[in-house]
Amino acid sequence: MKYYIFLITLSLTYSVFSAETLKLEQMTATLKDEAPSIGVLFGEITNLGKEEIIISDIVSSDFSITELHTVLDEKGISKMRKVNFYKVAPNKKLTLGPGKEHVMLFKPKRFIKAGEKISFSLVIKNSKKQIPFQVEVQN
Amino acid sequence: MRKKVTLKKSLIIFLFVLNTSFAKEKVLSLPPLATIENKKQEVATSSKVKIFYFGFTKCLAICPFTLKKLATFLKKNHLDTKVDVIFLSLDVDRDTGASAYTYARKIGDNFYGYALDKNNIEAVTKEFNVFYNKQKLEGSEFDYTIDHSNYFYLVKNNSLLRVHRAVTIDSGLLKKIEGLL
Repeated sequence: MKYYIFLITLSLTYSVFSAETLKLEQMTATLKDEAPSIGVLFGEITNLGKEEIIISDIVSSDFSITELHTVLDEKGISKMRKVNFYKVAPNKKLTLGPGKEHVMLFKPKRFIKAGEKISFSLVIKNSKKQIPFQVEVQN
Repeated sequence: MRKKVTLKKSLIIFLFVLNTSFAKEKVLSLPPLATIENKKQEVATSSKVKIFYFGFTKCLAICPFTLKKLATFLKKNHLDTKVDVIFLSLDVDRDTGASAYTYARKIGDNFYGYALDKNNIEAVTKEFNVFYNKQKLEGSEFDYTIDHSNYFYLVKNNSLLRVHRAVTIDSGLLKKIEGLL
């Protein structure tokens, strides 16, 4: 019985976190300056599944460090903060964009030119599965 | 009794309007921007309407997009030759005159960037009533960020005439700019 419960849980986890349950659109990475040390990742992530997903990281082998950030506007004061995860409710869209949630990219491991495509992976909390995607770089 | 209350209310409204109108036309006492770190760089023409914006060059998710949006807005409304945008860095430790200048020029030909020293930026932000605060970012590669007022400050002939929230680049801003031309 325990074995079956384990299998059901495993299959549910897979279905929740599979690439089919997430729709990624308009993903772009913008790098600062021509020899950049930092960049930012924007785009739209839609949760098509029936369960809330928690994105705990968005990583790339081309950057040493990536961080999830958000922007708060409190009475006309803009505040940028690092966060540990993004939650996306079922049938909801998370927009990564200016003045909102965004992913900071630090220390590129190689010289990256505008127009290049870079591979990223969405890391889902409590899952070993990562969802890969590609992004075109802008300067 | 009722008359007294109405009189009191009128007085409060009068004082509020008086205060607001003073705030709209504040004569600024600014340090000479071009002579601090950007001696050889172009100086924004003084008779033009200037839009001041305060930020920092490490900001990638608010400042550049706000300024790019403003650049598109000015161009679309044929104001890019009539208005100069002055970007003043609030990050005295990381930004230099050159980095602020490059940052602004990348956005448009009518954009000018400056980085002042600590005393001067304190004086300038006080003049504009700009809030800024160096905020430690725990566990971040950034180490710190700068929380800051996100407004456009419209200046002509060294007088602060209008303030507009930078998140709403709209017909309201257009009206304010056109009113100063």
